[in-house]
Amino acid sequence: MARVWRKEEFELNKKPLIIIGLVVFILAIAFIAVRVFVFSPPSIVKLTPIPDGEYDPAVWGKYYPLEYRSYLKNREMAPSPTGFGGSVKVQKSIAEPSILENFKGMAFSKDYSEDRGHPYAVQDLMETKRVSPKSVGSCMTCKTANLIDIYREKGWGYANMPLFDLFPLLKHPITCANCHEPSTMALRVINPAFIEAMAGRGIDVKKASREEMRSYVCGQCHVEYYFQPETSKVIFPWQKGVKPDEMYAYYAGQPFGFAQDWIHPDSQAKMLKAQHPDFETWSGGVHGKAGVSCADCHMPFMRNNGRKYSSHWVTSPLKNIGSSCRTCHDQSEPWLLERVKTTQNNVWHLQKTAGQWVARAHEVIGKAASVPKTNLAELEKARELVRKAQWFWDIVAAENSMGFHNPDQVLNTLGQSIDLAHQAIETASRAAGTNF
Amino acid sequence: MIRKILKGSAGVTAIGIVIGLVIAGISAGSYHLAGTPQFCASCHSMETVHGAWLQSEHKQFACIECHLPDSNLASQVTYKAAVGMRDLYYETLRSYPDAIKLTDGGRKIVSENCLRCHFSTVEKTNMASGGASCIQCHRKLVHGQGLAKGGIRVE
Repeated sequence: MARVWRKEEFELNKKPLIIIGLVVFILAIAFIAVRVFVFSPPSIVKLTPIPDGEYDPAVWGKYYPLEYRSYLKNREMAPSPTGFGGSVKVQKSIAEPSILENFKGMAFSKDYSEDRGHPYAVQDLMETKRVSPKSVGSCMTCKTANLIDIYREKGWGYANMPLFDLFPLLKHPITCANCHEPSTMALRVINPAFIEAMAGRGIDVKKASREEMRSYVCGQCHVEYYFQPETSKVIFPWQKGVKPDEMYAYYAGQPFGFAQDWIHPDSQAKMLKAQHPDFETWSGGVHGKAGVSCADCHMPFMRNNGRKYSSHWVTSPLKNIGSSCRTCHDQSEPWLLERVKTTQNNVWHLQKTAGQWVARAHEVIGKAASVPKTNLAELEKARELVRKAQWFWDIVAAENSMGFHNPDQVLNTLGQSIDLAHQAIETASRAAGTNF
Repeated sequence: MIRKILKGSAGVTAIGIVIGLVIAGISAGSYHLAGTPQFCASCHSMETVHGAWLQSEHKQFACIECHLPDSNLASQVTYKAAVGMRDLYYETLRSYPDAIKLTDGGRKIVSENCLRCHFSTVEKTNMASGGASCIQCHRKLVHGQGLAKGGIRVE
C-alpha cells in the first residue's frame, strides 16, 4: 500500500532557511566591519629594545618578524631580472674576459665573483682567494656587525692587524645592528670611514634626516675607498668630489703617499682598483638628485595582511616592480623592466668595449717598452693614459647597477675610457715609432 | 479601527509611503556619508593617499568630486556601488597592492573631472580634443610625491 504523503512533507520548511540566511548575512557584515573598521592593521611598529652588543639577527627577528623574514631572503642565490648583477657566485671574467688582462698582477685576476647577499659577507670574505695571510684587518670593515665592538675596543688599530687574527671575532655578517640603533630602532651608521669622509665634506651624519639616513646606511659601505699606506686605515677619496674625474684627481695628488694599488706587469703602469661606487654614482643620478633614497627602491614598503613594513630583502628593485618603481611610476611592469634593460644593455655594450680597449692599451705599451730606443717620456704619458682609461672603465664595471644608478654619467665615463685607451695606444705607438 | 485602516487600500499606500520614505532617507543619508573623505579614509589602504590629499592644493574638494564620474546620479550610484564592493573585498582580505594605482577607467574619470574646472585653460590646446590625460603629467598634484613619504613609525 502506497504511503500517504502529507502536504508539509512536500513543502520545504522555509523558516529555518530564512533564519540561517539572515545569520550568515549578519555574520558577514560583522566580519567585514570588524576587519575593516575595528581591528584595522596597526600603522605603528611596536618598539622592543634589543640589548647593545646583540648582533644575532634571529634575536632581533623575534620582535620584528616581518623585517626578519624578508632579511632571510637575502640568502637567495638567483640571477637578477635583467641578467646583470644578481646574487649567484660566478666569476665576472666569464662574461667580461678583459678583467683577467686588466687586473693582471693583482688579486682581482685570481678571484672576482658576483657578490652574494649580506648574510654571506663573512663567509665570502673567508673563502675568497683574494685574501691571504698578508691581508690586513681593514678588509673586514664592511663585512660584519662585530665591527662595532672591534672599533670601540681598538679604534683604527684593527686596520693594520692581520686579517686572519680578526676572523675569530667575526661572529656575524652584516646584520640588523649595522644600520639600526638597538634601543630605538632608529637608523645609524657604524663605519668610521664613512663618518669621517662625510665630515670631510662638511656633513655631520649624526644630524642627518631620516630620509638621508635611508641612503647613508647603504652609503657607509657601497662606496669607493682605499687603504692609507702604513696604517691601512680605510679612506674614501671624496675630498674633491664624488664624480669619477674628481676622485681620479684626488688620487693624482698621491694622498698620504698613496701612488697605486699595484703595478700592471705588462704596461708597468701604476694602477688603481675601483670599488663598488654605488653611493657616489647614485647621488648624481636622476633618482638621487630627486631625493629618492637607496631604501625607497631596494627596500620598498610592502604589506603583510595590510600591515606596512620595509622589505629587508636588499635586492634588485626589479624583483618587486609593483612596490618599488610603481610607487612613483605609473607605467606597467613590463614597460618599466624594458626601460631598465635598455639602459643596462647600452651600458654593458660600452663597458665591454672600454674593457677590451684598455686591455689592448696594456699590451701595446708593453710591446712599445720592449722596442729599443723607445721614447721613455712618451711611454710614461701612455702609462698615465692607460691608468686613467682603466679607472674610468673600472669605476663603472665595479659598480653594481650596470649604469642604472646614473645612466648619462656612466655612459660619459665609458666614452672617456674608450677615448683615453685609444690615446694610450696612439701615444705608445708614437713612443716606439711604430704602429701597433 | 486600526484594522479597518490597514485593510483599506489607502492605508496600505500610506504605510508604504512611510516605509519608502524611511528607506529612501537611510539610503540618501548613507550615500551622503559614504561620499565624505572621512569615510574614504576609514579604510586602512586609503591612509597614505588621504594624508597626501590633506596637504594638497585640492584639499577643499572631496574624494568623490574627482573620483566619481561626472554624470547623472543613477550612474554615479551604480559606479560607486560597483567600485565600493571591489574596495571592500580587497580591504577585507587586505590583499590590495603595495602601491595602489588607478584603473584605466578610473584614470579617465579623474581626467574628465579636471576639465570641469580647468577646461578653459586647455580648450585652445590639443588637450581639449580628447584622448590626452591630465594626470599623466600632473599625477603628483593631489597625492604627492609617492606613497613612501612618511615611512613607518616606531612607537
